[in-house]
Amino acid sequence: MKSNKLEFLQGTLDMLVLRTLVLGELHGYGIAQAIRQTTAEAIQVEAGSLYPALQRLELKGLVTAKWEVSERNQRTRIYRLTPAGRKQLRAEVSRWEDFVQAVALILNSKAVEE
Amino acid sequence: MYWLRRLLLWLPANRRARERELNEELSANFSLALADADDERAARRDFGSITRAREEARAVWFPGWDSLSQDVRFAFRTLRRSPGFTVVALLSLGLGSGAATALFSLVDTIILKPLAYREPGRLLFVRAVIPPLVHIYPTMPVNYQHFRFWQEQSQAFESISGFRGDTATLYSGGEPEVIGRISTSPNLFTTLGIQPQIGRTFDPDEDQPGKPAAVVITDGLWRRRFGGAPDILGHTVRLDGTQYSVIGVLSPSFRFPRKGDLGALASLPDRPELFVPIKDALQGWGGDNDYSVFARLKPNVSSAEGTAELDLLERRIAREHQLNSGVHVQTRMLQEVMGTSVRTALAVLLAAVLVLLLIVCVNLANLLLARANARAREYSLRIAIGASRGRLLISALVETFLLAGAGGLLGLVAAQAALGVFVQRAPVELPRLDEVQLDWRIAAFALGVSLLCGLLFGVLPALRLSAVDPQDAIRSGSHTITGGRRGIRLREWLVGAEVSLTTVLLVLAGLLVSSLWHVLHVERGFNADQSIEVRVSLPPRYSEAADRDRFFEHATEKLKSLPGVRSVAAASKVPLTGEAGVNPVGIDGGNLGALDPATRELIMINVRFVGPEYFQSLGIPLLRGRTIGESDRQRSVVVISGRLAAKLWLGQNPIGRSLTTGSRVHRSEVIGVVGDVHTTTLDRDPTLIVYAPYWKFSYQVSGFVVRISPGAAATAGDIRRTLQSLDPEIPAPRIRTMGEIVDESLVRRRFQMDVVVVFAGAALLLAALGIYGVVAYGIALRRRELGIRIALGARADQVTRLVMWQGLRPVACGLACGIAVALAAGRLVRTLLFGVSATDAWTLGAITVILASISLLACLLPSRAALRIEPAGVLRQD
Repeated sequence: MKSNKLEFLQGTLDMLVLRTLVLGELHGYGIAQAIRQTTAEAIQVEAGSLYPALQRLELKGLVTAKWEVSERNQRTRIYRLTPAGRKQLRAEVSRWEDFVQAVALILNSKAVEE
Repeated sequence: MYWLRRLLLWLPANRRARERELNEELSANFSLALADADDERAARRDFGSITRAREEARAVWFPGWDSLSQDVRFAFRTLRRSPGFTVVALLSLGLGSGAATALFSLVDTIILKPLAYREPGRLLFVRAVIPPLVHIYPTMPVNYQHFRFWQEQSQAFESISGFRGDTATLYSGGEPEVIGRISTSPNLFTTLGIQPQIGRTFDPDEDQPGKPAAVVITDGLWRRRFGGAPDILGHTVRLDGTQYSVIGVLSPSFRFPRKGDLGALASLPDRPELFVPIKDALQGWGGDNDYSVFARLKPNVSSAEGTAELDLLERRIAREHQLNSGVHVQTRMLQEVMGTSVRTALAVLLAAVLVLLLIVCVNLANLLLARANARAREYSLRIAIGASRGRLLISALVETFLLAGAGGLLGLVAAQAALGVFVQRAPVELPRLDEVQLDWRIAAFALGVSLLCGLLFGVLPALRLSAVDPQDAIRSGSHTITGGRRGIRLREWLVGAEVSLTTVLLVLAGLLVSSLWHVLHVERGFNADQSIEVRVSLPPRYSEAADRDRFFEHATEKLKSLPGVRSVAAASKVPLTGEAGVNPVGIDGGNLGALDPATRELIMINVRFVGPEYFQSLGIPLLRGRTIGESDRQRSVVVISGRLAAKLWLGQNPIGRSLTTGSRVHRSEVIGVVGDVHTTTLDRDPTLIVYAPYWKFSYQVSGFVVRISPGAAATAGDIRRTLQSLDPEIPAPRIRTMGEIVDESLVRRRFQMDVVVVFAGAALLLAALGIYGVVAYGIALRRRELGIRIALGARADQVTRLVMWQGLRPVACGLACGIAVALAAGRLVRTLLFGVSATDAWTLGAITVILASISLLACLLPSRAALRIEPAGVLRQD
C-alpha cells in the first residue's frame, strides 16, 4: 500500500462517512470518492474499511440503505443519514474539535520550549 | 432496536441474506469504480480488497466471535500446560457431579418419576387401621369382605381392586420353577389403567366359579420361559395343580410392587410375574387382613372425600356384622407409598452427596485461587499491554467453563459407573431399581451441577484477578503482590470449611461403622455356622395334610442319612426371614388377648411350625422343660420363647401351663422354653414366638433346617438330589446357609455404611489436597522470608513448625466446627444407628485422630519444601 496514505484514528472513519452523507444520499463508491476528492486525495478509503463501517452505522441505525438505480444507471445501495445519525455526527464533531484543540495546545507548547 | 437487529443476525437465513446483499453491493460499487479507472489493476488498487471488506463486515456483525475462539484455544493451551491442576480439578468436579448425578437419578426414579400407570395422581393405596393392633402394626392390609363391600357400595371411586401375593410352581416351559403370583380381583388392570401388549386382561366376571382359569403374565416371564412366542395366547400352563390358560402378556414397562413396597404384612413375592383372579377368598368379616387395595378416584373427587366414604362404609360394616374393633382406613397416594421405605436412607445419601459436592466446590475454589495467584503476573502483564478487565474476566471464565464442561462429562461417566455398581449391590428391596437409567435430564443435571460449581467458584478468583493493579504486580515479585496475603487468608477459610464438612461426613461414617459392628455382635440366639435352610415347594398332589406330613417325615429321615448331616427338622420359617403367623395369645384357658404387663398392650406372638430337632439344628438353647418329640403327635403341646414366658407368667414356671392362640394352635400345653431369636432384623428386639409341632399345620411348612458337621461332605447338590429322588416333580429347592441369611438381613445397613464410608473417604482425600495446597502455597508466598530466617540460623524444626502452623490452624478450627455440627445434627441420624449414641465419644475421638493425622501428613509433605529453600538463591532473586 502507498505509504503516504493517512492512517485513521479509531472512529474517525465513521465520522467522515456521516459528514459526507450530510450533503446528500450516496452509494458506497460515491462516499469513497467524495472523501478522496474533498481531502485532495490525502485520504483514500479502502473497501475493507468503508463497507464494514457502513454495516456498523446501519446496524446502529445511524444510516439507512435502499437498493436504487444510481445516476449512472447502476443498481446499488444508496445510503441516507437518519436523525440519529445527524445527532451522532454533531456529537462526534464537537468531540473531535476538542481533541484537536487539546493536541494543538501540546504541540504548540512543545514548539515554544524548543 | 440495535440489539434486536444484532440478535436477528444470528439467524442463519438472515446472515446469508446479509452476506449476499453485501456481495452484490460490493460488485456493483466495484463496477462503478471500474468505469472511472484507466484499467482494471488501477481500479482494484484504488477500490481496496473486497475479501477484507467481507471479513471485516463479518466482524461487525459478530463482534467477539474471533476473540472467543481465541480465548477457547488459549484456555486449552494453558490447561494442557498445567496438567497437575487440570487433572485434580477435573477429578474433583467429576467426582462431585458424578456422585450428585447418580443420586439424583436414584431419587428421580424412586420418588419423583410418576409410576407408569394411567393418571397416578388418582391412584390411592388403602390400608386398614385396627385400633387394638396399632401399637404393633399402625396399618394393615384389608379384609376381603370389607374390600368387596367397598367395591359394591362406593360412589367416590372409579374402581377398587384387592390382591395378595404368594408363590406357585410353574411346570410349563422348562424345569419346574417357583414363581411370584398375584391373586387379584379381575379389575386390577382397569384400576391401574394399563393395557397388555398382547391378548387381554381379565373380564369383570373372570373370578366367578365355573369360568375357565385364566392367567396374565409379565413380559419378563413370557420371554424367559416361553421364548417370547407370539402364539402363547390360549396356551395352557400348569401352575401347581391347576391348568391355566394364558390370556394376556403385559408390556415390558409394566412394574408391580414387590415384597416390602407396600408395608408390613402385605404378602408380596420378590418378583411378581403371574396374575390370576382370586377364586377362593376367605369369607369372614373380621380378621384375615390379607389384601392390599388400590383404588382409583373418580375425576374431581379428592382423596379426603374418598377416604371419608370408605370410613363411612366401615362403620356400616361394623354395625351390620357386629364388629366393634373400630376399624377405619388410611389412604395414601400410591406414588408416595412406593418410595417410603427408603426415604430415610435416600435422605442420608442426599446429605452425604451435598456435603461432598460442597467440599468439591471449596476445593475447586481453592485450586483456582492458587492458580490465579500464580498467574497474577501474567494477568497484570496482559492488563498493562492493554487487555480490558472484561476481556480478562471472559477469558478466565472460558477456562472455567471448559473445565466445568469436561468435569460434567466425566461426572456423567462416573455416575453411569456408580449406578451400575449401585444397582448391582443395592438391597433388593429398593423399589423400582430396575427402572434406574440415565437419560437427557440426568445428563443435563450432571452438566448443570458441574457448570454451577465452576461458575460459582471460578468467578471469585477471576474477579480478584481482573482487579489486580498491573503496576503493583509487575514492580514487585510475583509472590508478594498485595493479593497474596488476602489470598492465603481466604484459602485458610476455605480449608477450614472443607475440614469441618469432612468431619461431619467422617463422624456419620464412623457411627454407621460402629453400628454395624454392634449389630454383628448382637446375641442372635442361634448358631449360624453349620445350619442350612432348605426351602421346597411341594407339587399340588400333596394337597392332603396326611400326604404332606408323610413327605416331611420321610424327607427328614432321608436327609438325616446324608453323610455329615447331624440333625434335620421341618420348619415353617427360620430366623431373620420375617414375621409370620402373627396372633394374639391367651393364657390358662382365658379369652384371647393377654396384655403386656409393662405397657398394657395386647401381646402379639408369631407361630412357628417346627420338627422335633429344630432347636438343635439351629443351635437355639433349651432353657426349661423339653423340646417337641414324636411322642407328642397325639397331644397339643408348644414350646415358647424366653421373653414370651417372662411376659405371660412373670417369672413363674410356665411348664405345664396352657396357652391359646390362632393359626390352628388353639389351646396347648407349654412343655419347654427356648432362647429368643431375631425374626426380622438383628437390630430389632427378638420376636415373641410360640413353636408348635409341624404336623399341626403342615401347609405352613416351607422346608427344612439342616445342621451339618464342620467340614461335612454333604452339599446343596446332595440335598436337592435326595429331595427329588423322593419326587421328581419337586422344583429345585432354595438352599442358603444361615450365615447367608444373616448377611442378607444386613445388606441394607452394610450398603448404607459402604456408601457413606466411600463419601467420607473421598471428602478426606479432597480435604487433604486442600490442606496440602494451602501449605505449599503459603511456603511459596514466604520463600523470601523463610530464606532470610534460614540464613539467620533458624533450625529445621523451627521452620517446619512455622509453615505447618499455617496448615494446621484452619484444620483445628474446621475440626472443632465439624464436631460441633456433628453433635448438633446427631439427632437426625439416630434412627440409622444401633448400639451407639450419636454423640459417641469413641467415634468422635477416633475421627479426630484420623483427621488430625491425615492433616499432619498433608502439612508435612509440602513443609519439606521449606527446608530445601536455599537462602543465597532466594536473596539473589528479584
